[in-house]
Amino acid sequence: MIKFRNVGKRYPNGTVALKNVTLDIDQGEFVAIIGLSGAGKSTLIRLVNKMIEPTSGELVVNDTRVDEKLNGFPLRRFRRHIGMVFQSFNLVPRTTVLKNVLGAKIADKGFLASILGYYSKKDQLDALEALHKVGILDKAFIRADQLSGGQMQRVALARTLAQDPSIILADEPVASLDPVTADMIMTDFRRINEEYKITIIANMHHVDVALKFVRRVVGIRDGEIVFDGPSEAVTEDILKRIYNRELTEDDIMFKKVEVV
Amino acid sequence: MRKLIALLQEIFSPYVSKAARTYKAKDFEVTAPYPITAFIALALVTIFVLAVEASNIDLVQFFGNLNNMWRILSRLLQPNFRFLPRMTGPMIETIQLSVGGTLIGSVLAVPVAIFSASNIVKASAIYGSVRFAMSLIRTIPVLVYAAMLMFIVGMGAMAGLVALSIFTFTIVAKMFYEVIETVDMAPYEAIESTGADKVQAFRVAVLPQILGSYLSIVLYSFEINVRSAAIIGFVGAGGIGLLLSDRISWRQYEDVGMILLVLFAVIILIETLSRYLRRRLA
Amino acid sequence: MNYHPEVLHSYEHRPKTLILKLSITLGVILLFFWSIPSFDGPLISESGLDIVTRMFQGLINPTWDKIFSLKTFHVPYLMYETVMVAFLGTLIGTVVATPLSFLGSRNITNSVIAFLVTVLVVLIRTMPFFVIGLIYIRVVGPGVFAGVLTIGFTSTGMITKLYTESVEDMDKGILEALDSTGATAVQKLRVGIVPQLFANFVSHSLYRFDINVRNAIILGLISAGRLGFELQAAIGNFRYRDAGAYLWGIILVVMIIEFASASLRKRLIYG
Repeated sequence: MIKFRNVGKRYPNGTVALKNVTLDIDQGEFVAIIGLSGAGKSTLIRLVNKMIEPTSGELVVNDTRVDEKLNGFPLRRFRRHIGMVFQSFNLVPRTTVLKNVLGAKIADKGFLASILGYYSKKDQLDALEALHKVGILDKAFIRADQLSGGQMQRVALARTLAQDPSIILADEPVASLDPVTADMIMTDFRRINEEYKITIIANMHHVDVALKFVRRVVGIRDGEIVFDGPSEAVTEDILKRIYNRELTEDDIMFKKVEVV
Repeated sequence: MRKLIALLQEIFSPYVSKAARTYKAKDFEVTAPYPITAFIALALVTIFVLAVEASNIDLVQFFGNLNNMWRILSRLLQPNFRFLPRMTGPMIETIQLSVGGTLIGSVLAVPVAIFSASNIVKASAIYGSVRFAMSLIRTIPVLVYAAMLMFIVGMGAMAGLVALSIFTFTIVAKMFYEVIETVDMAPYEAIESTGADKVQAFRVAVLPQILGSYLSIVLYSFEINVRSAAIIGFVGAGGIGLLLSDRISWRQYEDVGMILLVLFAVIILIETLSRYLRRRLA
Repeated sequence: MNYHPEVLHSYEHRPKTLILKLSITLGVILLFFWSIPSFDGPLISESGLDIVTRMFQGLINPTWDKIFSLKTFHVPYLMYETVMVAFLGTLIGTVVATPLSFLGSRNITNSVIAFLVTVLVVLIRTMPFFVIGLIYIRVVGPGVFAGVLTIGFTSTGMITKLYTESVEDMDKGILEALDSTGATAVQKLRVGIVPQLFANFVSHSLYRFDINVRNAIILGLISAGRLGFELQAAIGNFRYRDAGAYLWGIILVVMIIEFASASLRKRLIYG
């Protein structure tokens, strides 16, 4: 359960990224956040695991108040069960896929085991199982920088699954993939959401991807929520309100396939 | 004569007149940049003259004693193989010194490199001052360190070891922090988002990116250290250099030739091995 | 938790690196203990510690007269002399290396000559430069002239190597184009080769000049240069404040030349 109550974020340079956001997300929901770049999508999801600190309002994630008092060890323990997936995958190059997934386990380790990079048999089996869940077990011992973009995003997904998360935050997970791969990755996301009841919050620039895969859509414009409802309820007018203009080709992913 | 004057005018007028450097085409005009070639040439000639004066060039003596050099060279080319047993000890010591200096220096360099990297340490006051201090230490050549250490830790291998360690420390720290600064920090953020602390995130997300380069830098400094270790003995700091300078002062050039032959083989062997390993690491 | 059989299978077949890692670690540790020279007593004696303290004091409060005096054999003069020795040595190296590098380039001469040049370069580069220094001292006597000759000789190796790499990277399309216009060899050199290589060559020589300044200092330790010699003599005679002055001279001259050489090379390469 994630509860935003009048949450705002103002950056030190004066930019107001979010104002008065009130939003409830239940466990197991799949939510897409759409809007122009710069509308505050990234800020919104980074607030959830306190990669960014809110400046006003109240944010409660799984009964933990996310505020300036959440720091140090409690903050790290809180982040343990919130996964995060990025647009550029953020895998560690020059090391194997398995080591990348095992990286999600390092937070549980003591100092010596961290330094030596020691992982137990259970850790390794969990990591391999996570790779199996996203269907790339056969790539486990290959270097991560030798994979294609779609495979990399699957490894990133496996990395968050190895955290055994209750929430996955996805920051533009398919924006740097081609349409076919994007479709596959989004199918993975939906399957994970349904099978393991993991809450997924995904920032999406591409409207059609969001509408195709996600049940609940939140539209933000200039740091404010201007729409919140099921994807079937999204109309041309609502999109115009969110984007403050007509949709362009850049906002659509799958249309390009027809052109090709 | 008139032609000469015209030529001189052609050469020198661009230096004084902007008009002479301006070329008119039909629709526009171009001014050529100020010609500096002549000034550079003049400066080089001046420096050359000053340098010749400052360095007591004595060509008469040089050519007069040239046969001396040929005699030495021809004796160098007839190595005395019976000298081999006497040089194995110092030769091994040379390798020991370079291995030890490389290991000590490159371990000590790691924390300093991390503190010099602007993407890890955000405070410019810290990494700036660390870098400045390191560049001061780096200016002093390794042999000068060895010569000074002779007075501090006494004659022998220890002075050489410390000097080589200092040298390795400075060069590895510099090359390594430049590598650290090219690291992709996005995976670091990803690992931090899993609840890892900074040390853990560094271990998981940064270390694999830099370990190969680090080992490669260490091997490179080892290659340099072998060469330095071979001459460090000339100032009394252990290794084969001690024997070399001794044999040269006794004018036993056949022995010197033998040492050079073995040194040549060892250096080539070590460099080939090191380059092979570095290619594997890349 | 139950794992999928395929997961168990890949776990069983994972690459096993533990033994390799352990043996490398053990190897490095053994190598370390093998390489440390044996010594009795403390690493640094009381008198050694005393010298360190005095040297630091000398560095903080050097003989200022020697630093700020333009007299011969005081610090600025020694710095100047060091640079001049390095300049002449680099010049000799450059002059000798230019024809050698063309002979050593596989795209210009045949491979036998190129190979011979390579062997020569390797020989020069592995020759410890103090040996060359002492041989030249036998020929022309101790002093900076021996230093110039030594630096000239040793620079030739590296400069030839760097020049050869440039020549081998040269764009030969221009030469073919000139051939088709019927240019003579001199014209080809003037129009096709010199403009391409000039900046590279100067840049390589500047790089070696930087190294040569350090070598000119070091040569003082075997009396083929003055700055290193004076430093050694000052410490040997317990004149620590003088030693501080010479050390500052070394630091300054190396820093200035390093900076000048690096910024000139940057300008040459990026215009």
